[in-house]
Amino acid sequence: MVQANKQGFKAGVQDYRLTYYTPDYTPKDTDLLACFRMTPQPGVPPEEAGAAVAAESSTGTWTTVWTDNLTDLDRYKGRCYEVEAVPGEDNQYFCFVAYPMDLFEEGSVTNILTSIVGNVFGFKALRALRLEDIRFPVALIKTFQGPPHGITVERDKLNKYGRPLLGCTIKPKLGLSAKNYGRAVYECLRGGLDFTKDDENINSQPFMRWRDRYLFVQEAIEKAQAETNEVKGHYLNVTAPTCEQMMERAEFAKELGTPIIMHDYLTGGFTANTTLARWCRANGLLLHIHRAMHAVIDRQRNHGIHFRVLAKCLRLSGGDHLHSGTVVGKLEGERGITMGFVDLMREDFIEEDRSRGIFFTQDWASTPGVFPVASGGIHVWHMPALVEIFGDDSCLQFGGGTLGHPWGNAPGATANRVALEACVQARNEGRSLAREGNEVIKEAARWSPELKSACELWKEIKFEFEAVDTL
Amino acid sequence: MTGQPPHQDNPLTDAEALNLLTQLRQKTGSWVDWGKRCRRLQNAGYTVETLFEETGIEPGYQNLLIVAAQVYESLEKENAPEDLLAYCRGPRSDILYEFRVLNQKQRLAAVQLAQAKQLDVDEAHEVARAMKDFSRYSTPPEGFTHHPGDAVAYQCWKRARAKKDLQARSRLIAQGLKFANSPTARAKIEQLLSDFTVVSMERAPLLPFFRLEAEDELPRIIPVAGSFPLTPEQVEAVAPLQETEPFRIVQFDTATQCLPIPGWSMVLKAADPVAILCDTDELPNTSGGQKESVVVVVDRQQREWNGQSYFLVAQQDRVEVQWFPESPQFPILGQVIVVLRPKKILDEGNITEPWQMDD
Repeated sequence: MVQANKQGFKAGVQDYRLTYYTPDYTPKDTDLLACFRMTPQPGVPPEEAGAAVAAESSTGTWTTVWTDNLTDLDRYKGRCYEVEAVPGEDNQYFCFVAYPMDLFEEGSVTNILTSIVGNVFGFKALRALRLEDIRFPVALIKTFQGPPHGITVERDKLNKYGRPLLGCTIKPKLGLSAKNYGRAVYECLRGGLDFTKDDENINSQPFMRWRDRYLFVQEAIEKAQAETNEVKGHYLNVTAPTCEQMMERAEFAKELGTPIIMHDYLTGGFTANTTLARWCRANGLLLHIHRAMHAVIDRQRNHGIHFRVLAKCLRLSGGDHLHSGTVVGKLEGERGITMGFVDLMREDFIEEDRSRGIFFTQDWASTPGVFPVASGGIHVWHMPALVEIFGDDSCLQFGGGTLGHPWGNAPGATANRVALEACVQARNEGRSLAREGNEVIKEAARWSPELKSACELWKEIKFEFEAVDTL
Repeated sequence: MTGQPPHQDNPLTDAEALNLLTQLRQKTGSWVDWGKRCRRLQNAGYTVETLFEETGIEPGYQNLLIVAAQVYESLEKENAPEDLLAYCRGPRSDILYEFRVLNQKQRLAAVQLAQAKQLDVDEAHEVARAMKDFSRYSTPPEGFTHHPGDAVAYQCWKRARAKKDLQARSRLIAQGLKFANSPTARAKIEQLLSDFTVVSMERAPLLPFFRLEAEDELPRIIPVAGSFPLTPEQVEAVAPLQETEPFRIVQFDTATQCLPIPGWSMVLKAADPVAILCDTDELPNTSGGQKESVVVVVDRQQREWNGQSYFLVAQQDRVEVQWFPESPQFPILGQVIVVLRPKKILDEGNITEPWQMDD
């Protein structure tokens, strides 16, 4: 209801904080909450900067407008309810903003992002601004379909339980003919992998048009399935110049009977992704999501959007797998942050935990979980660490770690599968992979020549995640 | 390709397999027996689909039974007491399945906690995660022990401390107290009950601190020699300014004119800079364009000729900016560091209005 403004219209520029900084406000369960990391220009008070962020990402603009009088601002405005200095950082502040749910269209990630991060990052009064986290209210979450199938249903469709899934990106990234591509897929799947994958930039180039690739790949999948008696799949990238072409490719993949397709959700866009995810659920295909372009958005520490927000948005928009980084070779703190957003992808209820970068408790209200995909730079010696860190519900992608095997693709795939099953078996028996991981791999290599050969090629790693001396 | 080592179990005879399948179909024994039978059959080459068709046990549940039975076996190896094993057989396969990520000793402690607190599967999941996290600390956090109850209590204590919402904080404190095992852990959590620093009160705004991050964020104050035309004496007469770090404070006579120049590296490097005002048509090699006022910054200490720079030189009783292909005959008074043009912006008022932006 529109409220009459007792004071009448006062034209001009007012401090944002008079309207949008409300430190006494207690956020409601139905509010969408956002945490921004702000770096104001020198002399700009952080409370004013926080209020401006709240204003510009909701109802405000730089000057008062006459039509404010026709709106119930108290109902619709975003509120900056907390500003705090970032520990250990100069010139940076966390600003917490509560947005009423009515500001957002139901089921639209696009609308949420356009509202919250659409314009506000251009403020001259801010040197930098980063969206660190979002808390989606349950009532809003329930307007989204989410992942087409989720972890549990995917396992049922694949008939694979109790272990991470194994995959591999076919290399070289570009230039293989469709026939040779299909051959590489067949070798990897026959060797023991569950999935192979198109690279993110394989769409429909002159050297390999999408229809040819799909046909040869599907032939490879069916042959490998017949030989291994397991469900196999290849992430057929349906990313395309237009949504119509994307859907045409998805429809053709479905006609072929392939189990899973793939989309580049950031370059393709959230609208296209949500459309595809809804189609995938309706048509029974799994959806693998690549995050190409994410570093453009999430790499800077003080500007952009943190990947945990992009991951949460993907869970709403829809995807069954999402690339999340490997943790391998990362510092302890980064490991915690990575595992923080991995939890946000697959758990149903995640408590606030600043040490892992989780600023809000998030209840997903039974939205299906997303498989985190660890991909890149990993080989058989990393297997114990990956199983220990990621647990069962993950997809481990060994690209070079499969195709780089001295005996070829199929033995490379076998080596990874043997290493994986040995690690899972050892863990289930109660052995500590952190302490005995390398021994477990060596034991399996005694009966698997493929693994033995891989172990000789790649260097044994030291699993250094066991002890943390500082709290 | 299963990735399993060959000949892991003795192959089953048809009669043995049939017997196992019948027992599974009739669900005889406890879930531990079911898990062991599933494993034997799978190792003998029976697929999960075949077992499902023959017994009605879903593939996902087969996996849970097999893994939970392995956890159960590890409890037996740790000499768990019979009442604990009976509790596990209870049936608690889902709880034991959650403890698969723990090692043998941890599993025993976790199951004892599950029995004592009568945990459900979600709580068991939390216990396993908390123990896993806790085991990464080389020494337990102050006040907490390695007991699994303390591991969960520590997670609750850590989260409760960060919560500002009193309701959420109270929930975590209650959960922490439920799990805390040692008196010290309990005391740590109880301390939170009397810590009201999180209660919101009227607060003073934050002081507008700002840490300088780059050299060019502070300008350099440079004395002005005057406008063209100038004599060499007028240029030489300008006294250099002494700066006091860290804020580049300068002290000068009231008669001295000064100019702030952004602290770019070449400006900071200048040993004895002086600024001169002139018009662009008074400078050499300016190709047409509109005449405008500029500031020429000259370093009076750089008096050695080079072919890549412009210099301020004394020509009789006047100074000029010139470039020379070879060392000049005239006395060099300094090297030109930078020539500043004034800013040229469509709406200057816009600069001082920081909140304006594109709609």
